[in-house]
Amino acid sequence: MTKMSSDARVRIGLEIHCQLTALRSKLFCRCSADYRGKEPNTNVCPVCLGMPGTLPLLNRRAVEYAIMLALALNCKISKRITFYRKNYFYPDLPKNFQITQYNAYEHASVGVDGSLVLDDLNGSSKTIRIRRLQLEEDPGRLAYEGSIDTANYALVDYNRAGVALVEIVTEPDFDEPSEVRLFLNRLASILEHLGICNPALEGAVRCDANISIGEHARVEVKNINSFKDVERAVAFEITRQRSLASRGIEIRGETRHWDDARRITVQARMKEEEEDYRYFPEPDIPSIVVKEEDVEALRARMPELPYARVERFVKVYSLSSDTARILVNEKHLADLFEASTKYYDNARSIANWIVTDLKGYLERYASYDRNSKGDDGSSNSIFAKVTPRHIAELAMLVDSGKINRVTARQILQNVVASGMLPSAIVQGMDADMLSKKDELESIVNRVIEEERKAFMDALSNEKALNYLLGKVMRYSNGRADPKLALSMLKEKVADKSKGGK
Amino acid sequence: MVGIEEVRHLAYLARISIKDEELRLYAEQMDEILAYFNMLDELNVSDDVEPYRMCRAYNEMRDDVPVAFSDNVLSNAKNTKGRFIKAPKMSS
Amino acid sequence: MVGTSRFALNAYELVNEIKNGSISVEDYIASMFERIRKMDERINAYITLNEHALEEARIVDKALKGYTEWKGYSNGNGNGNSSILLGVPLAVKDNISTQGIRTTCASKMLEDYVPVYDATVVKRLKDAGAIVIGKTNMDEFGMGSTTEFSAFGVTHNPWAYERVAGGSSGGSAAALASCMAGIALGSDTGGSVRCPASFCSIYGLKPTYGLLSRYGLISYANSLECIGLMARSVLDLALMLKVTAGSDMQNDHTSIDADTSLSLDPESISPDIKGMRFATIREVVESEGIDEPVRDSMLDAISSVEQLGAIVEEVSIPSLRYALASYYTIAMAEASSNLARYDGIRYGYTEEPDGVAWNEFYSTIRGNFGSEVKRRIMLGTYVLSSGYYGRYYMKAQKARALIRDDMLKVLKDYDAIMMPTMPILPPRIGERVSDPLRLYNIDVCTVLANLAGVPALSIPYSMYNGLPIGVQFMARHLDEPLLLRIAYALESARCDKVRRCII
Ligand SMILES: [Zn+2]
Repeated sequence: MTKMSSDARVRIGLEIHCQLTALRSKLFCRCSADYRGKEPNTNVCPVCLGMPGTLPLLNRRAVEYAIMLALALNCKISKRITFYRKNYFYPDLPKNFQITQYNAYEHASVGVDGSLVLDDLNGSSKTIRIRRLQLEEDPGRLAYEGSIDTANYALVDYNRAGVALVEIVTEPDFDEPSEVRLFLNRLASILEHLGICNPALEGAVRCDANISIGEHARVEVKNINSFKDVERAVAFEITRQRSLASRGIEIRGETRHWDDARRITVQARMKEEEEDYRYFPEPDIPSIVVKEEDVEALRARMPELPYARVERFVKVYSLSSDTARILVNEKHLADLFEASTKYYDNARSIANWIVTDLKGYLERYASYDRNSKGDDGSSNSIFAKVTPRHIAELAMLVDSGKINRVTARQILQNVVASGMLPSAIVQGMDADMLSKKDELESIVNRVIEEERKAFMDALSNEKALNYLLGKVMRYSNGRADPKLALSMLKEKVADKSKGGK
Repeated sequence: MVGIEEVRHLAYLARISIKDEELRLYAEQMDEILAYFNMLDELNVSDDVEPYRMCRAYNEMRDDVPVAFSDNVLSNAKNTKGRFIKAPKMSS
Repeated sequence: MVGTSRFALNAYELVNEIKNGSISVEDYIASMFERIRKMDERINAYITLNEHALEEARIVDKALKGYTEWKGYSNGNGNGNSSILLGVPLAVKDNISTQGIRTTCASKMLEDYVPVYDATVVKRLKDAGAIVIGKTNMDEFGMGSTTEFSAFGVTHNPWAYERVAGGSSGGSAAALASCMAGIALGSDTGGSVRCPASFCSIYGLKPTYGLLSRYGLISYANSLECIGLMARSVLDLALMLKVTAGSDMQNDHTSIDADTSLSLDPESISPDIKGMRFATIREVVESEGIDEPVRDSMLDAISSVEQLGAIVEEVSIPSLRYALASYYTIAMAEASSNLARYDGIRYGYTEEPDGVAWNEFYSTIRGNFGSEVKRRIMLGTYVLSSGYYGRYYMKAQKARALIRDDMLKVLKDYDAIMMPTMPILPPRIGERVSDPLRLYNIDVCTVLANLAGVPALSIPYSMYNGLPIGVQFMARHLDEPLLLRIAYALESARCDKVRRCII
C-alpha cells in the first residue's frame, strides 16, 4: 500500500467478532453451535428464543476458550468475569437485549490490555494493543424476499441466535491497511492453532473498522465479511477521507457500510443516533471467579502457539524465519510441513517446496482465500488429496535431479486430480528430463524458427530471451532442463550477433 | 424535573407509544417518584462499598453438551412464512 | 365427607382422605370446578382453568386403585416425594409457566401465549401428585400490590368483596381463602406473596433467594424475585417446600443446593419457640404509615410469642430508610430490560408486520402494556441511562448492600426479625391505585427480605372488623425450618382465634 500524500496521521482500530466454532453447543443454551445449513428455526429452544421464564446457562468451555485466546493475545485475565446486558431493540435479537460484557464499572470482560506483535513488517516490527476481549451472544439473521428495498417485511431465522462470539477490540494502533491484513492473518493463525475457531467458515470471523485521519472525526465501517475485504475497505475509506480533507470538506463522524459488490463504503441507511445501551449487570448469570491456578492450568493445556512454532521451526528444522512464518501463518501448511518431514528428512527442501510451489499453486489454481465461501476446488478439497507423503516424494524427486520444479508442479496437478503418488506418476508419464543436448536441439530450433522477431530482440533484450525460454518449456511439456535450454538459447543468440550482420 | 417533553423522549427511548393526552399525568407521577428516588443521592457511601451482587452462587457453568429441543417452540408465532418468522423491516 | 367443608380441608388431610379411599380425586376436582364456576364470578381469582385437570385426576384415581403405579407425570423426582401431594388441587399464579396452559401474566401482551414447558417448581409439584386446577389473577407482570393492574379485571377479597385481595399474587391468595384450591403458587418480588396472604388470612412464604428454581417464572425483577408458596396450614407449606426446594442446575444457575443444610421433614416441625430471640425494628414500629389496628395486632402478636417463651427486643436499622427507593430503582431497571422481549414476533400479542417499519411496529405493540407497566419501563429506562446510572442504579445497589449487611447483623444476634406484613388493612378497590407513590409505600415492610435475599413468612394473625391482619417473620438465609416452627407455634396457640378460609 502506498503512502498517502498528506502527512496527517491515519489511525485505524479494529473490532473483530470470532465465533467459537469448535464449541458443540451455544453460549447460553444446549442448542447445537453448528447452525449452518439447517432449515430456518430448527436449531432453537426456549432459552435462545427468549421465551418468557427461561434463564441463560453459561457454557464452561466457551469461557475456557475465551481465556485461552486472551492469553494468546497477552491479555490480563479478569479476576471476576461478569456479564452485562446491552439493551437495544432488533427483530433478530430474541430478548431485545444482548448478553455481553462491559468494562465501564469494573474489569468484567474475560481479558483486557493485551497485545499482538507484528514482526514481519518488511524487517521492522510493531505492537498492536488489544483493549479488551469479551464473550457475547450472536443474534439471529434477517433475510428478505427480493431485495431489502422492495421487500415489505423481513424474515427471521434464529438458528444462529445465541452462538458464542469472542469480540476483540484493538486500540487504534494501525497506520496502514497492510498492517491490518497482517494482523488478521496472524489472528487467524492463532485461532487455528488454538483450535477454537475455523476462520474459513462463512461468517465465522467478522470485522468492523474505525478510521480517522489527523484530528478529523472517526468513521466506523461495518459489515465487512471477509479478511481480504477489510484491507480493501480500510484503504478505500482512507482515500475517501483524504480526498474530503484535501478539499476542505468536513469528515462526519458516522457509521458506514462496506458494499462488497461495488467495493466502496456507503453511508449507513438509517442515521444511527447516539445509542445509549443502558448496560447493567446480568442478574441471571453468576459471576466467574478466576483464580491464578485456573489460568495456569488453562495455559498448560494450550497447544503450541504460532510464535513458539516459528521459533521451533527455525531451531529444529533450520528454516529461515521468513519461511517458518509463512508456513505457520497458515496452520495447515505448517502441519503438512511437519508431517512431510517424517517421510523425507530434508526439512528445508520440503519447506521451500511448500512455501514457493505448493502455496503458489494453491493461490493460482484454487482461488485460495481464507474466507473463500465455496468448497469446490478450495484448499480443503486439495488437502484431502495431497498428503504429507505426496509432498515428501515430490521434494525428494526434485532434489535427486530426477525431475525439475516445473515438472513437479505438473505432477502436483496430477496428484490433485488422481490422488496418485508422485513416483508412480513419474514412471507413468516418462517424466525424465530432456537433458541431452540433441533432444533439446530440435525444439530450440523450432522456437527460433517461429519466433523470429523475439529472437532478433533477444540480441539486446533479456526479457525476450525469457520469453523464448518459456516457449521451449511449453513445447517440451515442461520436461526440458531450463538451465540447459537457456544456455543453448544464449549460444544461438551469441552466434547470431557474431556472424549475422 | 420530569416534564412532558422528558416523558415523550423516554417513551421514544423505551419504544412505547403513549397518547398525547396521557403525557401530563405520566409526567406528574414520574416526577414525584423520581423525586422520591433522589433520597439515594443523599446516601453517603464510600467507593469501597461493593454494590450488591444479586446472587451468592458463583462459577456455576454447564458442560458443552448439545441437546436438541424437540417441541415446536414456534407454535406461538403467528406471522410466519414457511419456517421463517415474519418481522417488520428495519428501514424507516 | 359431605357438603362444602371438604373444600376447606388442609392439603395433608385431603391426601389422607384420598389415599384411604374416602374421596375420589375425579369427583373432588369436578366439584371444585363446580364451586369455582359459582364463586369466581364475584371473586375473579382465576384467569384460566386447566381443561386437562379431570383427565389428570382420573390418572391419579387409577394409580390409587392399583391399576398403575404412581410415578408422577414424568417418573417422579427421585427423592421420595412422589405422592405426598396426591390429588391436591394447585392454583398457579399466571406468571409461572405451565406447559399447554395459557400463561398471560395478566397482560394483553400474552393473552394467548401457551408455554411449551413447565416451570421446574410446577413440574416438581405435579410429580408429587398435585393437579393444576388453573392459573390465577395478578397485577400485570407482578407490578402492583393489589391485583388491580390486571388486564383480566380486579380480584376481590373473599373476606370483603369491595376490598382488594392484595397483590400481586392476589388470585392465588383469594382462591385459597375461598377454598377454590388446596395449595397455591405465587411469586414474590417485593412482597407479592406475603401481601395477599396477609390480606386474605393465609400463609405466604417467600423462600431464600435461589432455594426454589426460577426456571419458568416470567421475569419482572430477576435479582429480587422468587416463586413463593401459599397454603392454609403450616404443614401444607412444609410439604410444598419439601417438594419444591433444591437446586435446578439443568435450568437455573442461580438456584442453590440446600438439600444438606435444610431439614424439611414436616413430621419433625415442633411448635416450640421457647428461648427464641426476635427483633422488632424501631424504624418500622414508629413509622407513621402504620394503621392503628395493624399496630395493635402487632403488639398482641409480640405478647403472644412472649407467652410462648420467646424474647422480643427492639433494634434500629437506619439504612431501612432507603429500602423502598433502592427496591423500586432496581426492580424498574431490571423490568425495563426483561419486558423488552415482548415485541409481537415470536409469541404474544401481535399485528400485521407487512409494510410497517420496525420502530413503529415495536412501539405500537408495546403500547398495549398497562399503564403501570409502561410507567415502570420508562422509569427503569431513565435510571439506567448513561447519565443517571451512577446516581440511581449504582446507588440503589450500594444501598441494597448496606441494608443486607445491616439485616444480617441483626440476624446474627436474633433468630428472626418480626414486623407487620402490611402496614395497612386491605384497601377498598380503587382507593390507592391512582397514586403510584402511595401505593409503593405499602411495600415498606416486605421489600426488606427481597433486598437481603432472606426468607420471610406471613402468618395470619388476627381480624379487625372482619378484615385479616398478618404478622411477618424474616430469618437467616435457608432458615425456612425456623420460620415454619414459629408459624406452627402460633397456629397451635391461636387455632380458635384465626380463620384461614371462608366457606
Ligand atoms: Zn437454544
